[in-house]
Amino acid sequence: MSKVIKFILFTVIALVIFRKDYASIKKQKDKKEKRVYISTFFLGYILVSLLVLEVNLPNPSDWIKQAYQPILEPYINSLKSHKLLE
Amino acid sequence: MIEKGKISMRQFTILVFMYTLGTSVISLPSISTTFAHENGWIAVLMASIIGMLLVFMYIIISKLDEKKNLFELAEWIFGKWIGKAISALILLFILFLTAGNLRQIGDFLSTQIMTETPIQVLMVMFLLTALFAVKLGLEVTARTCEVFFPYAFFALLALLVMVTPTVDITKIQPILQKNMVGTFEAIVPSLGTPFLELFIFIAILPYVKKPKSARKGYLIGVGLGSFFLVAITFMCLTVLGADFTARNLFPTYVLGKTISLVQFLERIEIIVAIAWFFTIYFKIVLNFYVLSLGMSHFFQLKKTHTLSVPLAFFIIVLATINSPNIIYYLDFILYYWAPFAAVFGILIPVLVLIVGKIKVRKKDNITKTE
Amino acid sequence: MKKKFWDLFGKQKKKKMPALQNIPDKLHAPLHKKVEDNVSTIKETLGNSFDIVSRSFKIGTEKPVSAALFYMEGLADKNFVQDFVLETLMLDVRETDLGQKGSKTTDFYTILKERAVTNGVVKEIKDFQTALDHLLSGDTVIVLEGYAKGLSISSNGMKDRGVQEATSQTVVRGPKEGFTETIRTNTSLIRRRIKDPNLWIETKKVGKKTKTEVAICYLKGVAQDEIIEEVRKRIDDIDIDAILESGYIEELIQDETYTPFPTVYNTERPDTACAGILEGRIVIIVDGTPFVLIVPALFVHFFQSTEDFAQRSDIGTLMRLLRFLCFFIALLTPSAYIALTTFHQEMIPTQLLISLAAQREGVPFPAVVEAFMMEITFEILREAGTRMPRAVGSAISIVGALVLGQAAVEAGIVSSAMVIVVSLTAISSFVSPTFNMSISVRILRFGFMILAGMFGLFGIIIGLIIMVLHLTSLRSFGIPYLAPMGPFIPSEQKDTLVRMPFWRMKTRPKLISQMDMEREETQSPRPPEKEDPKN
Repeated sequence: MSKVIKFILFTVIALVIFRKDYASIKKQKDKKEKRVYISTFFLGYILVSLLVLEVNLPNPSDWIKQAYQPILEPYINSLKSHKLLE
Repeated sequence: MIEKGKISMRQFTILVFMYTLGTSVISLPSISTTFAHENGWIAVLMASIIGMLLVFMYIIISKLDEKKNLFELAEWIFGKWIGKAISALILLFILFLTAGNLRQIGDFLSTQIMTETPIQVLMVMFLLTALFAVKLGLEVTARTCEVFFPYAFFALLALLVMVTPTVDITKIQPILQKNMVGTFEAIVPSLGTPFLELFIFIAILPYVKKPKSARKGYLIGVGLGSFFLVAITFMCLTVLGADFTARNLFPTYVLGKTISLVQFLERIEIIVAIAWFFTIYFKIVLNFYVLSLGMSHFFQLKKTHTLSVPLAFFIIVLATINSPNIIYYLDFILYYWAPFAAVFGILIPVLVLIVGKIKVRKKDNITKTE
Repeated sequence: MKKKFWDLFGKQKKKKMPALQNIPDKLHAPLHKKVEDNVSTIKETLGNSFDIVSRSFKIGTEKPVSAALFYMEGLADKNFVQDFVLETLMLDVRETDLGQKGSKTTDFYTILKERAVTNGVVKEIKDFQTALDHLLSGDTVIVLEGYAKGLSISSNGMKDRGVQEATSQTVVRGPKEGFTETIRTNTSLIRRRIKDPNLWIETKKVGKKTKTEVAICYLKGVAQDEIIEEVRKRIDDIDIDAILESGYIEELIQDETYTPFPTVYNTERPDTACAGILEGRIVIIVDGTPFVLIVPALFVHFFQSTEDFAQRSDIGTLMRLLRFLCFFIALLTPSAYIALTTFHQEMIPTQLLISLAAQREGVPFPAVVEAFMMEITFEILREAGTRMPRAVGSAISIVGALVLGQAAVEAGIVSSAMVIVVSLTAISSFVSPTFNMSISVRILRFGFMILAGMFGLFGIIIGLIIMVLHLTSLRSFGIPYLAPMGPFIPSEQKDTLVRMPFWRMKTRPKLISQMDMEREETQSPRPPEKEDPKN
């Protein structure tokens, strides 16, 4: 239940931020500027909403780890052998 | 040029100094000592020398065209599409870096100082303050940095001076006798935290008043910052010992705890902690600023801070999800960060430099034959 | 038009008010040729107010010309009007009578203007509007039969307070006199101190109803032309009905409205104003108030007092450093107390911590609430102290000291440490030599207290960063507000935190005046070299 309250609260805050922040962009006539802003804002809003609703988001650090693991195998093993702890 | 403000050489130097210290001032001693043991400070020293060489390379890159920043250079050298792709990669890296730094200060605060406050709240507060600076622009940030610089500088200097009575040289002996391989391998992770991230200043260099003195300031800033990093690592090792330094997540903070001047002046580590609070703050602000600037270039927007608010959402999300716990993140920093950052700090700059040089030479030839 | 969702919460479109047609057209009409018409129109326009004096009389004997004279009782100098205007016109003009005999001119008006009126400032008037303007600023207006124009003679003689001691920024050593409400006196006070032909004074009339005189003083060739132009432009842009105090002007010309910090300096002291002018700053004097404005005003200016320069440099430096220290004490002590007692007890030395804990044992509120209560109480006391009638002053001090201090501690509502903190804060905030800076500290203090209550020292640091960011983003007439520190200017450190001896302050501030930088060539004083008696 508290998730939902948090989500609603965040939505309200996001709306307020949007109104305040969008005011400066609204004046410009460039349509692209508005489109880019609104789409990035919406994307950011969705991401934070997912976070607030405690959806498990994938961790990008894991992707980097997986991508580098095969190349770095010997290097990491060598480093680990010199580790002071354990 | 989107950014209309200009900063002075002094301001730029101070920004570079603050950035170099950044998060490294609390985490680097631990990182290097983990692998290099009592030679940790030598690893940091060598990493700084390599770092200075890297800065030389970045300076040469910026000389290709003094008026273009990192993103403009990329587009100019590789053409529109490849340039944009490279810009996007760099932006993703900076986004990741900013989130990582935010996570680090959040971890530090929530484990050491504000133990009862949730980390998200601390990170949001910190990010909002950074957002305010980004919104106000580069000039204001630089001036603010100038105001806080004396505090950060003298507090760190005072830390170094005040722990000298407890220095025990035997703790780092024998120097460079044991664990040679480990020492040299420790250079890589040590290089990762500040030195491979320094390339972001190519994006700010065009906005310094005199390009020539700016380059000098770049070197001075990194040099001074490196000196502090080496000195603090040295002090950590000689006062706390290699084992203790490696075992601690924030050895510099523990080092501050050992200060005991007069009976009264105990537990003043928080005064020192405030100093690196400032350094990390300006590191995050600079990253955030360059990210915002880069996004504006990428989408060809008119202002530097147009997308700063949506970006703040991304950063806070990434800072929350990029590590389930503090150990995971430390592990990531120790093994994966340096190779990951090397792509952006070494590989891409080298590419830019080579292709750029060829392009400039071609252009010169054409003008000569005409 | 489509109504957007958020328009529901937003501003509603304003309805247009019907413009009032209260300015009669006849005011812009030229003067009549007949004296009686003029008299009646002027009297009518002023609503037959009792303080208008109109005197009809005849000039000359052979062919007397009827004329009328007006002045405002109280605004004009009655003696002057009688001795030098009425007497000349009614008695002396007889001899010259329509010009000297044989002269071709029969233009009575010109003769009157050129020969008969013995006064420095005489102006021609053509319509009722200007006639009334002059009349209402204390001039005497004369109209003649047969001419559709009149004369105004400067006869301003309003009672004023006289130069008295400045009450708001007092000093131990230094000149005591302060500005008065009269603009002429004020300009003369400045002129008397700077006897340089380059001291230029421009005047403007601001305020549709009050028509207040506003003077801009600067040292030509030292003050930056762009800043002068900017000041002129901003004053010209003012469109308001009344200016009753320089605060009106200040608020209408300042760079940023939404800031707790003042970006315009105000002073009651002529010596401060002159020091400002000599630094290349611009002084704005407003008629009707002893407070003049100085622009551009930087953050450090609010910590300087003329006394720094009257005392020796080392004393001046110490006093100034003390002021900066007090700024931070006044700003941060309550929040630091809250942060330390709630979040960082380990930073307090053990013995102090024990006694603090013992004191707070009986207090039912958290430190934030306690601090808020005491601070607000103190603000109430201070406000009451400034505004109340003098006679009840002692009652307030009894209530303040005994009831709210001692009794509150004894009743266990607040801890005695909190009372000390609040008193320290209060005294420190009075150290500031300028009142408006201490007000901004008062406002910000509460923000810091909230932050400290929520996040401890972390909150205070966050607050400080935001404050400095805001300060550096401010500008006063184009000059960065935090100037010698914000953009760090080494050469200006001579007069920022410290006050160097005069022989070290050789140049004017770099950002404010960019011309005629050299101030002096004085060498450091040395005792005359004595011959060594041994030789």
